[in-house]
Amino acid sequence: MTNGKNNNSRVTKKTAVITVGFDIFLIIATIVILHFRDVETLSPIRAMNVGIDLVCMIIGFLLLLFCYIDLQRVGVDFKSFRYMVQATILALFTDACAWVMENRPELWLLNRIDNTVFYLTMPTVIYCFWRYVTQIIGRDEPLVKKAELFLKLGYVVEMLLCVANFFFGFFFTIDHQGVYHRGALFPLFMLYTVVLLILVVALLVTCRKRLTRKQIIAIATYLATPFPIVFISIFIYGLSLNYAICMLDTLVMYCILNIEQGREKLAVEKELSTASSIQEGVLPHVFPLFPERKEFDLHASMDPAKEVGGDFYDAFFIDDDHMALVIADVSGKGIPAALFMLISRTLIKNRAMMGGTPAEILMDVNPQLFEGNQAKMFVTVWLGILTVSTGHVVEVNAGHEHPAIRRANGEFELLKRKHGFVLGGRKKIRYTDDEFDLAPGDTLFVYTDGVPEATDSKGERFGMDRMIAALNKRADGTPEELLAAVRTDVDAFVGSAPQFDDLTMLAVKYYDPEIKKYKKVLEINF
Amino acid sequence: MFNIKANLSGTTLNIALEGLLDTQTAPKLEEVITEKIGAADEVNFDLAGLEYLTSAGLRVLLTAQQEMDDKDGKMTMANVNDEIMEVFEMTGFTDVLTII
Repeated sequence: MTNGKNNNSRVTKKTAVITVGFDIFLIIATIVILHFRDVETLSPIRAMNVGIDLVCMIIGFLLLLFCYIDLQRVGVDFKSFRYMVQATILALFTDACAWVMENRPELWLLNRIDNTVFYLTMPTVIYCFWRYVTQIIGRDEPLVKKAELFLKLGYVVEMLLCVANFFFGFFFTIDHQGVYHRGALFPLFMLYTVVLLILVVALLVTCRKRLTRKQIIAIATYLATPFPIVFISIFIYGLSLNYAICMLDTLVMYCILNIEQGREKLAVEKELSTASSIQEGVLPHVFPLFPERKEFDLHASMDPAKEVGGDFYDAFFIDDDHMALVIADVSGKGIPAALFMLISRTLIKNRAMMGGTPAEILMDVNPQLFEGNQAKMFVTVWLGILTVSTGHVVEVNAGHEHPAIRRANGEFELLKRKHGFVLGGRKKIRYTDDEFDLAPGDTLFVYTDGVPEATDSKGERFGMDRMIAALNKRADGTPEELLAAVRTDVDAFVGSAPQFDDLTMLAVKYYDPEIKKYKKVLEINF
Repeated sequence: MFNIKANLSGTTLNIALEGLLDTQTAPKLEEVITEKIGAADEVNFDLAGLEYLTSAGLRVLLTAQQEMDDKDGKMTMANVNDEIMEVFEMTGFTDVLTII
């Protein structure tokens, strides 16, 4: 059950080290700059401002550290929250630097660069705030979908304008004396933030029923508290505590929202991992399954897209000479599919143990599955019964993928027979048996649609041709090698795209049935 | 990419599907069908633009078919292309759906 989680955590570890290191650098840089700038010469209000900036940077740094610890331990990822904290730290840093460099003609260029970065952080912080809020509320909300494109576009435009402002100075400018002047278009700069905040308020109002009171308070605090600060700043020049208050609000949001969600997620995940191990345990998974049987070699694997899946395979002996092989795929994924899978698997196995042909077995199982099937789920099943002494296979196909078969020394080909309807979907279904023979050296490969439907990042599907080609690369291999060959090719094809469907395969290679007799004779002789 | 054009005229529901009908998009179709099927005694699907469908999509079609069967309604599938037909054949849906 590999889900590429290791890979992810390696990436985040790297970004964690880089960002945390960067923040330590910023904090130390602020302290060093203050040391050389001689704090005594700063006006008290500015010194206080810079001091608060520094404290809030440290708070931000700790917050970020907690976020990474959460990510590592709980697996809760609020990417937008981390970006928001990071951008706020940068805003605090540039704010502190701006005050230190104020009215210093020799530093005017540096000051302008610094202020440009400061301006860039504002739409970034606010856009990240939007992403964070929508992650909590849910991005399927129609208002969110409509606003998202508009805000994304607005964000890009705002960033470009801030960069252009460096040369043209329509939002603000730093003259050669190092003095900061607000430009004529400054209100335009604020427009983006105002529109975004209004949208968040609208979102809170429309979705208030879905949110807990705590969540609303946390988000509303972030929205509302900067206003009194802005109001005070109008009267006291030299005070710019917006970001400081933002950082404190971010801390509040973290305490209320992230920790809450993390706790819930941890509980859910614990249950899911238990469910996952139950499911894993239900399927026969210690290979070789039948070490005493030398007439054939069998291997199977199931990799769910989520923690639990709707696919299953099965292989069991009905009597000494008849082995049932099952591969099945429940419509849908996750927990509903897993529940349906467990019922299907049990019903099929129990009914198969009572004897009868594959078609009879499925015709008996079908009404039981259909009965009370509230979720209208169904399962596609291929069921074959192999007579081990002769290689004869009786099979039935309930809407499942065609098996692939390789005749000794030949190539894999699909075995296309008439298909019956999927199992559990309708009250009355008729199935008919089909049959074929496995000669010594032949290999049978069955799979679920997760194999041909594995999709790469461009949306292209792996497809049957690639699957058959992958099988033929190792046509002569053991079942275990065949499965590995297909898996390798699927992985290479899919690349970094997420796995969407469960991926399940089973292969049987049939050897000479006489082997068993020889072996017995040999055992007797020695 | 997935598009649904649903249009209820009188008691006839016409639904044209476009793109990929899979786990991610099937819930959208389900939503549209649950909303509108109650008033319909005839449902006509136009699959001309449907590129692919998976078991999640089939499940939604089956639910609609059952609903129509329960109230003796009529449900048809038009413009089924080769790839979709292959899926219908493989899963035995050809026996259950009315493909025209």
